[in-house]
Amino acid sequence: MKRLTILFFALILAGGSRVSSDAAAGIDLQGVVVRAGGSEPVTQANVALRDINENSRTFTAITSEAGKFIVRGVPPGKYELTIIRTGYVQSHQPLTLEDDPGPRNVIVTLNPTGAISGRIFDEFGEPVIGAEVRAMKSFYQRGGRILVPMQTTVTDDRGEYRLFWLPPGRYFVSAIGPKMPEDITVGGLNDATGDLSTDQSFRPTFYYPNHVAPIPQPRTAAQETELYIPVYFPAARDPHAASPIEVRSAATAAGIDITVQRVRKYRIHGTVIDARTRVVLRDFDAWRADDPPSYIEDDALSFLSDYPIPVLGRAGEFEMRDVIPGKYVLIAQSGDMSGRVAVEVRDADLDNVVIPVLPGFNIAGHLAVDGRKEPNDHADLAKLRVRLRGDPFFPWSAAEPQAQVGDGNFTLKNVQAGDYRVLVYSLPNGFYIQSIRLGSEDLLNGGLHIDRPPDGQIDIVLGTTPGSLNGTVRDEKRQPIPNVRVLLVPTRRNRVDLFKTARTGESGEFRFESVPPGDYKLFAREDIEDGAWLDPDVIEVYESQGTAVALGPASDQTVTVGLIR
Amino acid sequence: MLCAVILGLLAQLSNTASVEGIVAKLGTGEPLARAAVTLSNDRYPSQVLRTTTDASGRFSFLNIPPGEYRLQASRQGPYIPAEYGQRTPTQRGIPIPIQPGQKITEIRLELAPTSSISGRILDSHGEPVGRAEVQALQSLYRDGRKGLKRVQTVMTNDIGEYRLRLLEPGRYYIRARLLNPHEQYSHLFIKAPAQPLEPYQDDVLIAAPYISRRALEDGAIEEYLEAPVYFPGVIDPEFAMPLELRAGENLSGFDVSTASGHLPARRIRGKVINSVNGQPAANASVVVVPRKADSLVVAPTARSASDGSFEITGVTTGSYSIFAALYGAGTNGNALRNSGIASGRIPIEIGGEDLENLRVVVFPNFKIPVRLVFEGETSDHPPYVNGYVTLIGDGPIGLGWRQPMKFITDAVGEIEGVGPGDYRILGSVPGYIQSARLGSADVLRDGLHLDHQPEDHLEVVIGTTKASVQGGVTDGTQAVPNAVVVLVPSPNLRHRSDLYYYAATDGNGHFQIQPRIAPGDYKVFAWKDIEPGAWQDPEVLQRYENQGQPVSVASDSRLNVAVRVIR
Repeated sequence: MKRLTILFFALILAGGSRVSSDAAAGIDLQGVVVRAGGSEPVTQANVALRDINENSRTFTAITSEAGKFIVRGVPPGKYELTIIRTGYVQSHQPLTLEDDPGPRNVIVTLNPTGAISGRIFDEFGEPVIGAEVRAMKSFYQRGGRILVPMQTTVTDDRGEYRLFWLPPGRYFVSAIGPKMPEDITVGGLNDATGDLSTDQSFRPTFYYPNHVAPIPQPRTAAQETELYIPVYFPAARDPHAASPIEVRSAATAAGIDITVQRVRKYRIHGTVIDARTRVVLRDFDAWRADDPPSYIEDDALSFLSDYPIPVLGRAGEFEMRDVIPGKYVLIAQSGDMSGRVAVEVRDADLDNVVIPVLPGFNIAGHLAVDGRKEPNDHADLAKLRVRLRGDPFFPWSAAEPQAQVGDGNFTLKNVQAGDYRVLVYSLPNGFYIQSIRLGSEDLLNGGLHIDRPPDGQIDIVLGTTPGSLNGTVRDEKRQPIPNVRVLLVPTRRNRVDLFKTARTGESGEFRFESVPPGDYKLFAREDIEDGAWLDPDVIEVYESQGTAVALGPASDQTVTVGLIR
Repeated sequence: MLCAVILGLLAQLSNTASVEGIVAKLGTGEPLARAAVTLSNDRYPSQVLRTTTDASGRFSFLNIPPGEYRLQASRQGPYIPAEYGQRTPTQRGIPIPIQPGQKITEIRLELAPTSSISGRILDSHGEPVGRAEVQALQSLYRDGRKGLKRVQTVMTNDIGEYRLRLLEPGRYYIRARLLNPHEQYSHLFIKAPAQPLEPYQDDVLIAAPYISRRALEDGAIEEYLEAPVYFPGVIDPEFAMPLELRAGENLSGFDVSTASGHLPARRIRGKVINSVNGQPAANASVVVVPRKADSLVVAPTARSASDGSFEITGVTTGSYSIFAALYGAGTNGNALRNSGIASGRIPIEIGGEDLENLRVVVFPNFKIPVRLVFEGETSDHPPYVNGYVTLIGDGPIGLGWRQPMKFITDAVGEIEGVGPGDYRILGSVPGYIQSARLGSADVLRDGLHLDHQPEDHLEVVIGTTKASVQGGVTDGTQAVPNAVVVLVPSPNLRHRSDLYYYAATDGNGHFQIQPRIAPGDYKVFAWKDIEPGAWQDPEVLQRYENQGQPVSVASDSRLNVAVRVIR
């Protein structure tokens, strides 16, 4: 109650100051953007000044030939200044504009991006044309590191490639040979976030005469039975054995050469049956996923291996082709039934694999607030939703079972056997998930693995006593450091939901609100890029330089964090 | 391409045949190891024999059943896949007849290396541009007119370098275009050598204009349209300079400056008015198209607001056509695709300033009733039709705008949504279009000029024909395989694209132009090598006019012609 009242009061104050500032003339912000390492101006950079209290209010500008920009008539307030320019790492910094007369001046330094280049060879030392090369960063997955592509390109006719405009950092590079030796027409290429554009087009009224029939592209016998697999620089088939490449600002990591590898490819044949009646089903979808899966918990970065859908036979049998040796989970779905089976392909086709499917079942649950019997004091908790998210997360799978909390009792309907994470949307300020249990199983830290209707219900307990952390980042000379990223990392590194970041303000100060009690470490480092905190190797390097903090319930702790260089 | 010397030795010892030979690099003649070689039978395409050349470039196929086979080879390199018997590195070859027990040795296949063109793309300050789009283009005939088709799209890297690669020998144009740097799309398309473009890949591309912005020192912003430029740096494709590429050639240093494409951006502001009530038309689709269009059309679009007003950015000084179309209530049409229920088009000239207060009036589109009449016995031709009649006109883009017929009953229909303009008629019907009249106008001969709603219906007479022409092409002594044979209509009908028929000769020089040739007088031409469609270009055809052989085709003709290939 108290917390809500304070919030309300603060809103009135903020609203009041905004009204008065609208009446004022506004401030001129003058800036110059320069390249790091010198004073060379950065032209054609996009400048955005966003009001952090009112997201829709943004002022924009472009830097001139001299690298300068002007934004006129900006009301005083707190802003985020963002500079974006190809060839440079995006810059974000907080900026407070006081109600002073005269223009405000700011200098922004941009770090140039880097590049990776090299050649891809085959086992005879000849260059490979059309090999797909990826620059990837490592991210956390439960229990291990997984690699997610950041940029993809193909080798040219000399087997050469260049990955560029990469923010400096650690990357892993993989190469995979083309699907067919002469398959050099690339259909889908995405770097970072894009796809091939689709052009609108008109059909001309002319087609080629018959004699321009294509000359078939002959392939060797080996190419019929083998498949290229990704090879990680320098020469590893296992991503865990890959060596990172350090990409430095304004530099190219050259000579990153890789030799592609091929392995025998196999097929998986099988059927999908109703587990209760053992009847072979004809109407189903089946697909396979790597085991352990290659995905990551943050939905914005979910990345799935897209194996082609299997070929279906007339009697309901399926055939999965182009399977390289490894462990897989085969998943089938038929109506509201689904199921999965784990398989391993070693050195032969797999035949007679059976995927039994079952209808889903209901799981009862209860949500309580720590220390209270019923959540009926809090109307907004009734609107909370509990959701089961598949683990690995398949965007095309059946709708996620979810239920509204209501009076505290809920039922998740039609849950299929499998692995899940339990999610709760959307927690209001001041609440956090304290525990999720099914009987004695800890679902919050271990996930939900279910293959039959459970005995018992899911018990979710919300805590109401989060803590908060504030402090200052100082360097070795005890000077406060503005505009540096601070990471809050839980000791349980798989609890990705507990990772938080903040940026220090102009006096080096930072604040984390609504932090669930527990053990954490704080890391402050300049230029730590998005997602790097999910890289276990990055954290490992700085582990000893982090600042440990044990946050008790409802405590507000102040801490000084040393800057890591 | 060297012709192989085939030593046919009939073996007394075995009945199965064998083929042995060598794969070598065209030019140097060096043998190529690890080349993939296949022997395939046209009649049983799934049964393909494969092997790989050894360290000395040699291959052998043993125990081959008799038949006709095609021998092909390919290899990483990169090389263009080759077929035995081809005249040029990208043409089809000829099949090899293999008799029982025949032993073919010393057969030779030569692989031509691919070529490349590289250089940098520079902006108007001479600075290299990252992620600019670069395309390799070749000339293409569409309906008798020369245009350009894209065979490859690549992008420059961060230092502005591009590399157009895996190109066949030939003549190329280069086009470069600056893209919005914050557009994340990656443009990469490489036509594999010796493969034709799929029809959809050959399409005209329509792109939104890229407007770059420059800040002056006082903070004012100037807008520029970044138009595509052609090597060596011109915006008009007529002045583009072609590059001749030979097999295995790697041309470098071909820098292209986009300075001429860096043009002050102008705006068009106006209103769309509905002629029916004189009121502003809301939600109209407005398109602006440069008068000179090419395989890449930069066409800005807009939609009129509730007061009928619209604003178009992304044009510059020059000649354009502005086209507006209104669609039925509740539908959101696109003027790039069809002209809705009412449309209007006006040519505009943009000078050194924005164009203001432009009024675009849309008039209701016309509906043309169509009646199909079948020549011949009614017993042979029941009145139902499984084909259609289409009007092709000079649409907003000016490149093959079509409006098909909608059937009301079996042989009666209408073509709706047709705006004023000039049109030709095209049909896909069993038979051929013998005549097409609207009132007294001969649409088939003169085209259709529409400026008001016609009172008559369009009467289309479909003639039946079973005519076919086949024969053989020789050079006087030998048959010519893989030649193109074309039936060209008589000079007064040369504007009718539908009256050109063509086919290719097979391994023995034989061709067959399939039935349903419209009766009339034609000339037969046979070329060893000609750009597809060039025969519709009067300037090209006049060079060969005397070498064409006249033939007269009646609706029941089955002609057999001996054709001399053009020298």
